[in-house]
Amino acid sequence: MSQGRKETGAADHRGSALSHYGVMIVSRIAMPGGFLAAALILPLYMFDRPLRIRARGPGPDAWPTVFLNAIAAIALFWIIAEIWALYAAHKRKKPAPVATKTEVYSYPKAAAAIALLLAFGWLLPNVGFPIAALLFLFSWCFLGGIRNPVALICVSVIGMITLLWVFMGLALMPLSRGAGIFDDFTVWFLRLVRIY
Amino acid sequence: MSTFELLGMGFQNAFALWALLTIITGLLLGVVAGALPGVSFVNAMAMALPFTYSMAPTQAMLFLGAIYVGGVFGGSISAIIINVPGTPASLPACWDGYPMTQRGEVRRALAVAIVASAIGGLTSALVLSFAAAPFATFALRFSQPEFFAATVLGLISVIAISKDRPIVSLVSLFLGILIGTVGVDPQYGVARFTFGVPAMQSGINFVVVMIGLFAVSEVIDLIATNRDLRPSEAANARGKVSFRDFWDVRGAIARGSGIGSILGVIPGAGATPGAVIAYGVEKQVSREGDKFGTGIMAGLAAPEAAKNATTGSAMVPLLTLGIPGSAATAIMLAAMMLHGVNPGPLLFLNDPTMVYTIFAAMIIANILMIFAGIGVAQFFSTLMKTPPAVLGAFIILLSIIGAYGVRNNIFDVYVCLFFGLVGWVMKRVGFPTAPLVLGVILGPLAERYFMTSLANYNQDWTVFFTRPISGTILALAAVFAIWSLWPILRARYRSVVLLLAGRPGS
Repeated sequence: MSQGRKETGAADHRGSALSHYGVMIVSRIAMPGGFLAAALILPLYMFDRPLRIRARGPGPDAWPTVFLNAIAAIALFWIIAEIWALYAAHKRKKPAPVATKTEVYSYPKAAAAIALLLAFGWLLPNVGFPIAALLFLFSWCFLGGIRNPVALICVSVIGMITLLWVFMGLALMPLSRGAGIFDDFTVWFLRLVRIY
Repeated sequence: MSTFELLGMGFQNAFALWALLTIITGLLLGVVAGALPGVSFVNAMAMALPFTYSMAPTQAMLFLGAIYVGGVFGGSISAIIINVPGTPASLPACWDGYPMTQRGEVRRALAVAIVASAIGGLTSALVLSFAAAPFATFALRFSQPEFFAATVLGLISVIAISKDRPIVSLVSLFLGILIGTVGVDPQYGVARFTFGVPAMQSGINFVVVMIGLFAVSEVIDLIATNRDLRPSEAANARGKVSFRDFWDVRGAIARGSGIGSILGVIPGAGATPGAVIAYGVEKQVSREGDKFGTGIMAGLAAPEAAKNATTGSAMVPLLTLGIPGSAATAIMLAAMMLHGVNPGPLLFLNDPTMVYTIFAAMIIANILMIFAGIGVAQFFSTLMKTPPAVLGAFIILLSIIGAYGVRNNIFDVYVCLFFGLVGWVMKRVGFPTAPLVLGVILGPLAERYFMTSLANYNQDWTVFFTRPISGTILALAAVFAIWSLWPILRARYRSVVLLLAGRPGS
């Protein structure tokens, strides 16, 4: 009975060790595998239309092809190296080194920051730089932990006007004014702050 | 008249009040423009060009030359303080300068960068003054295969900066080179990797990629880690600058100045390959090479000296042959043409006063740059006292304006944001971003030189090896690669042998 339990335990241990290595193999070769797949697929999308150039010497596909092949070769070597490292770790009877991080990192905050950036990118051509910048400054500072409403408003408004003055007023950069009524509003605002 | 007498006359003119004021104004403009990512000193020089119409030819050259000198350095201020290189050549300043800032040694990092840049610039200004003729003869022997070889040498230096991870760094570099192929190909006019998006036909600008990868991803990290950028008292004590700091990096500065002075003469090579190669060489030469990337002063000083050392030597082919080797010197050539000055050997005979005033002004500009650099850096370093959330918000907006300003195109803003996200993911998974940026910068140059070399030499690919200078540079690149890889290869070989012998881990 006890022998049977021991054997079952050993089998479970072997099974969990195998699944542990399986997960490690998958996680460690995911990146090089992705590069290998991309290097094999991307040549199909190099040109929008079939190439009709009869080039003397290397054609327009030569240079990218060299580097796609190089990425494929290196990715393959990388996969082999990862499997070898896991095999070596298995022989040493200790898990392959996995990078550990001790820093405090807030992924929800990072995700919120990315969402803000994407929102800003979408807003910029639609509502124009002044409104988009104002909203962005306000939201980013709020996300960063500033809760004083006076500070939030001052930073956003003064910051936005300063940027407008430096880049649209002095450097004459044609930053986006937005579309429709937002364009009219931006022009009105630029007149108000004496840039136009 | 001897060179010394001519240079004395040049100094006399350059020390005139109007000349000094012109140099100081140009320097300040250059440092500020260089420090603002996306604005760049080349844009500042282009914007300043119309203002030179009303100036005398010599004054116009002093003004543009000072913007050039200040701007090449200025890019390192933002690289060191906020990890955003103001110019591509300031990329290596992020690798060891920013880690020093993270340790609270911002003042020390800036001081080393300013002094190294000034010494590098001064060295090349002296090269320009005393050895313009032989250097110009050397530069004249360069053709497309040599430019290609020099670019390959720059790309190879990625191995030296790979921090024991050459495979990952090579993948990153090749990805960067592939990103550089997006858009209409320069030889056949065929669009590549545009995926049916018309805006992609104009290609992906390296400045936009650089801003996204460094600035945007860094700011996301800043907000997610809630890091306080204000240096602590202990860090402030560590960050105090002493003469010993400069003395310790004298070798790095000397090597960087030498590399920059030589590479600057080669048209098309410029400050970026100069800085990257100097970093790679220093990593191999330095006793602390294995710690590079963690805030080692030699790793900051060498590329800083090299990139500013290209400023004086880049003017050698411009003044002696009328060949502009970079966008900045092309603007200076345009200014000379506008004023009816024809650069070339005859200029030295017809107007030596002007030539030697420019030489003297370059020397003065590099000395004054220390003060201009300190002033602007002081202003920028007060930014560290700003709450990280406010600082981050403004970095993002400046980055987006910088990306937009490259071509006044909203598509570039999207590209910048996309690469910001890519950069953030790369940082999170520990995938190096610097080789990718280097690939995007140097890849298109390498392709152009490669294709035109083959077209000019009947598709004979052996031309890269049979031409003496090109062959020598490629051989140097191979030696450099083996030299950099040797410790890693030796360690891997030993571990494999031990494993196969059944003694793992011993």
